[in-house]
Amino acid sequence: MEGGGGSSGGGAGGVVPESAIEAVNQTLAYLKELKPQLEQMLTLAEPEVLAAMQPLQRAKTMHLLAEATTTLYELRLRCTGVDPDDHRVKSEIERINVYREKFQKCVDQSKGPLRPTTVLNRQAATRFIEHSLPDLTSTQKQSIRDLSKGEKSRIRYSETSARKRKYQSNEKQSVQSAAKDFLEKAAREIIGHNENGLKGPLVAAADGSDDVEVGTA
Amino acid sequence: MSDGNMDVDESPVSWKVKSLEKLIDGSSFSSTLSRLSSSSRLIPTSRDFHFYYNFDEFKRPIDEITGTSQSTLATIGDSEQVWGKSMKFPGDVDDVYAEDWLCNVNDELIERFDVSVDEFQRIRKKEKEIGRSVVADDGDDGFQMVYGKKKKPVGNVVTGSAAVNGGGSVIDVKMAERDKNSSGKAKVPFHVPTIKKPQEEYNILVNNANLPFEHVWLERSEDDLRAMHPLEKFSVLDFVDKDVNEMEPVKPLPLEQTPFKFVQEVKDLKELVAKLRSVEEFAVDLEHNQYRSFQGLTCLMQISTRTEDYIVDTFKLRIHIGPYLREIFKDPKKKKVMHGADRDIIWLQRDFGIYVCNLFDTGQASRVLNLERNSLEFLLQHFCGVTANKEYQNADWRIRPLPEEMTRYAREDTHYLLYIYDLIKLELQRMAKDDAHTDSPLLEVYKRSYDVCTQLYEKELLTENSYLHVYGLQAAGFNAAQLAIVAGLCEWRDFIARAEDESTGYVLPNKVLLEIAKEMPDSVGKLRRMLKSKHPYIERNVDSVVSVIRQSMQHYAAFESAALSLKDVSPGNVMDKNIEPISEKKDLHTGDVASPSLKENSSQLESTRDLIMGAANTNEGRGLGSGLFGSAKVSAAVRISKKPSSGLGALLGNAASKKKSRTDEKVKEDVKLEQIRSSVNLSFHSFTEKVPDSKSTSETSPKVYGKPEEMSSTMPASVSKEDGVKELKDDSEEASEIVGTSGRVSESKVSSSEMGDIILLENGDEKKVDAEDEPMSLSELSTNFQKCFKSMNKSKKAQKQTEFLNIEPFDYEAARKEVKFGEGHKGRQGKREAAAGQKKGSTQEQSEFGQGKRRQAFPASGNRSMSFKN
Repeated sequence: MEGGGGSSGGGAGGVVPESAIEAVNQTLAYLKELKPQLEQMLTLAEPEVLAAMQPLQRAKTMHLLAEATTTLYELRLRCTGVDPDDHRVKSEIERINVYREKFQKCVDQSKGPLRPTTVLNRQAATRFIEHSLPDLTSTQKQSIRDLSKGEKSRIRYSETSARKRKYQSNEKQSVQSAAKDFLEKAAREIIGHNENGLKGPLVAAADGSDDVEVGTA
Repeated sequence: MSDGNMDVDESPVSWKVKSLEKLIDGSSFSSTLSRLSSSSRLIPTSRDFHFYYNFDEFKRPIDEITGTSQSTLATIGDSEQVWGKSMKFPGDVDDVYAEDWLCNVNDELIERFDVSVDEFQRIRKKEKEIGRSVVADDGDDGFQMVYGKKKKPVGNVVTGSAAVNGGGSVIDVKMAERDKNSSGKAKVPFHVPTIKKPQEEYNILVNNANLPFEHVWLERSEDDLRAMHPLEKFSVLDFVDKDVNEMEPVKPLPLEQTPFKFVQEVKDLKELVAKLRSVEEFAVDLEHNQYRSFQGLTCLMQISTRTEDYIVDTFKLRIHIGPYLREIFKDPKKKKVMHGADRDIIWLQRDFGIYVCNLFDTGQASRVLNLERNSLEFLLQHFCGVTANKEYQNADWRIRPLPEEMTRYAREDTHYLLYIYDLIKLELQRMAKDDAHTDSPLLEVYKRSYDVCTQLYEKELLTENSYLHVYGLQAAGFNAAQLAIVAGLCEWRDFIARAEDESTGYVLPNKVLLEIAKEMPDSVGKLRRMLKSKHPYIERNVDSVVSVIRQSMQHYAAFESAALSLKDVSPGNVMDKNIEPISEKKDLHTGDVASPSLKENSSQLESTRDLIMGAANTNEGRGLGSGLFGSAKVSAAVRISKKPSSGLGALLGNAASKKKSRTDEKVKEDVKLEQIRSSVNLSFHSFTEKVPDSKSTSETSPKVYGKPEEMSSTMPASVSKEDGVKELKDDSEEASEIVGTSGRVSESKVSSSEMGDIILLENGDEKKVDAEDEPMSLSELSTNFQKCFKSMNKSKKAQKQTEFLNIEPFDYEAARKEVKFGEGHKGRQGKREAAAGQKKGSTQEQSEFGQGKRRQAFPASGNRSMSFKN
């Protein structure tokens, strides 16, 4: 008895590919993680609360709810064997993506400054001071120049480092997103390839059935 | 006290705001959502999914995901505090309503998203102008009030402009803008998909069968041929008003001050009936929905007297309105005032069996008065100074419960109608005085109203030509295959519409129908890809639609002439030109009566086509006697009409084999074996044809006589005839020596039936071609039968090869014969073919009779005398 059970279990494990089982289990874990958060959000999202929020926060809430609803619906479709790409839910997904981009634009806009600030040109100011003080010695003049140059070089250094950090952080994000996209595409290709491989004989069988029908008719 | 209360109220709201902001700003929710979305993409779909689902290792987590996601979606739907209305999630994602639910949820959220973004943009703009941030408290107060206003329109299905009441100027401006924006966007929808079908909600039963409407409430005429309208007993003069000048029209009370009753119960209906019995005139109007019902559905009935307004819910009280109100509407003493009553009259007849007597149609009156416009809206403006909201004229009146705005609009339709009627009467009288020479305008109005009342409702019926009336078909320029698809889809959608009680436009709009016919998708994927908007019935029956398209494409030959007619002829003549396809389709529709399903119909089509092909193969295989084309067609047609489902070759083959094994038993049986007998006669008769010279000579002579009747003879044709005669002589001489005895035996069983003769001759000719130089016997005859049938089943090329082999010396003459007679055959019509067939039949009978006599008279020395005659 145990031996027989073991062999059948082994057979089942072999039939279903590991990637599919892993995907399903991961999806289940994420869903269990998402559900309490979503329920809490729904509980809190009362008209009074939404009215008291900042408009950008409210927009984010609405967008997240729409995205969650669409994602769950898509997941539900997948669990019935329907491919969302062949279903009309795809237009809803595209609509959510459009509004995500719109929201991102608003966020970027909110982070920007209200108006451009004024920046003092220190070297020019130094030159003005030099020419307005005729009694200064050459040593004093040089010290003023060195002072202004030194400060500016420090400022430049700090600005440069800040820019580099921003650049690096942006680059890191882009690298991460690029890697993520690449992995998703690779996974799709693999699954698609499997589907094609499996669809081949199935499609041939369908053709065979069509021939049979034609013969019958 | 008030301050304390405010503090107490504010704290939980602010706490909730902070909690919600933490939840949103925290990356856990967003990241979990994105990870869920990406991981779910890896789940296999379609065939892979269904295959893996058989294993528990895959099935258990999938079932758990299904349950969890289903309950979460249900939670989203059940959160009424978020939506402000009921957005319950339907149970099954495969259902069309679930997709509608998702669209509605996303529409709601995206609308609020846009509102929030617009607020953000506005604040941002102000901040840029001022150069500093706006104080949060003021913003919160303003936003809170504005959002509170925003909530109300969302709660109503149909929105109207709301009154703006505000304290501060800034708040007023915002709310005013909001109201304008919302009123601009929220138009009255023509169709609200989420309304439950009243047919199901109120158990409304409708007879949508493809049969004429029966007016069961009307008396029949003496000859019982038609229904008599009760108005036929009255004259128009009976209804004309008298003593009009004496009365002074009284303007009705304002809408708010008039008593109003929404009739939804039977006792309320009884009260209405009692009220109507006590008055002499009342105004009536109906609200109708055509889009979600096959014949149309009356949604509302408005009735107003001088003092009261009533609205009857025609869904709840559908079966009661007829019995209670029929007599009142039929009473010639009570005047009914309607506007544009031509369709209301029809709807009353169809849904309630109500036939109106004594009607005054204010629409007809406005035409007689030559007013600027004939609409009720204009009359309300012109006579009463009331501005009606036009948007509700085409609203979806299936909504229950009715919103306040729609109720008001419905009441306005009838509330002022009696007053308008009074004013119009005065104007008509004034018009009569001004122009004394013409007929009375008031009488003219009553005549027209009389004619409107006497029209009777007729149900829309599907006929063979219904597809020709599809709007846009004339301009489409379709070929036969596309036209076949149009006809097939029209029939399909009519069937669905009658079964589901939906309009054909809802099941499959004409625009989409023509697009499908143009693209001709022959698979589910193609059809789905080309359909961009939602069509629930197509989605549910996509396999049926594809099968209809395929079958139509296979049998498009019947639509060739129709396609040509549509391209060349104007619409007026299309009906006349399509007489031939109509006659062809009648046979098919006869099959429809026997077997309604499309599949059986298509199978009959295929069998018919096979028979025609069989006949064509027979003609080609024969290679002789071009005149026999007509006879072959006639025989094929006769056989089709008798047994459309049977195959020609199979039947004859079976009959031949049966005959050999059980000759005596088969002879005894009756009707079914007549064909077997004819085939038996066929074999023997064809055998005897080759024995005597006299028979072959007499066979040839009727052909010679027959051909001039059909077409003029030419030199090559006559040459080929002579050669044929010579060849036949040689064959018959050899055969007579071998099988004289069997010939005599077969002669005695010759049958005189027309069909048998036709078939006999055809097959006999084939045998001559196949076995010129071989001696003949019964067994070999049956073998030749089988050879003939096999050759019939071969393709055209094989037929040609056989033909060349058999009659090689006469290739050119045979080719000429075929070419000429083929052309002639195409030009002929069915009647000529039938006539030719009859003539040939009679000729053959005569020839056989002659053969018999001569043979008996000169058995032995007949050979010599026959050769002498030749």
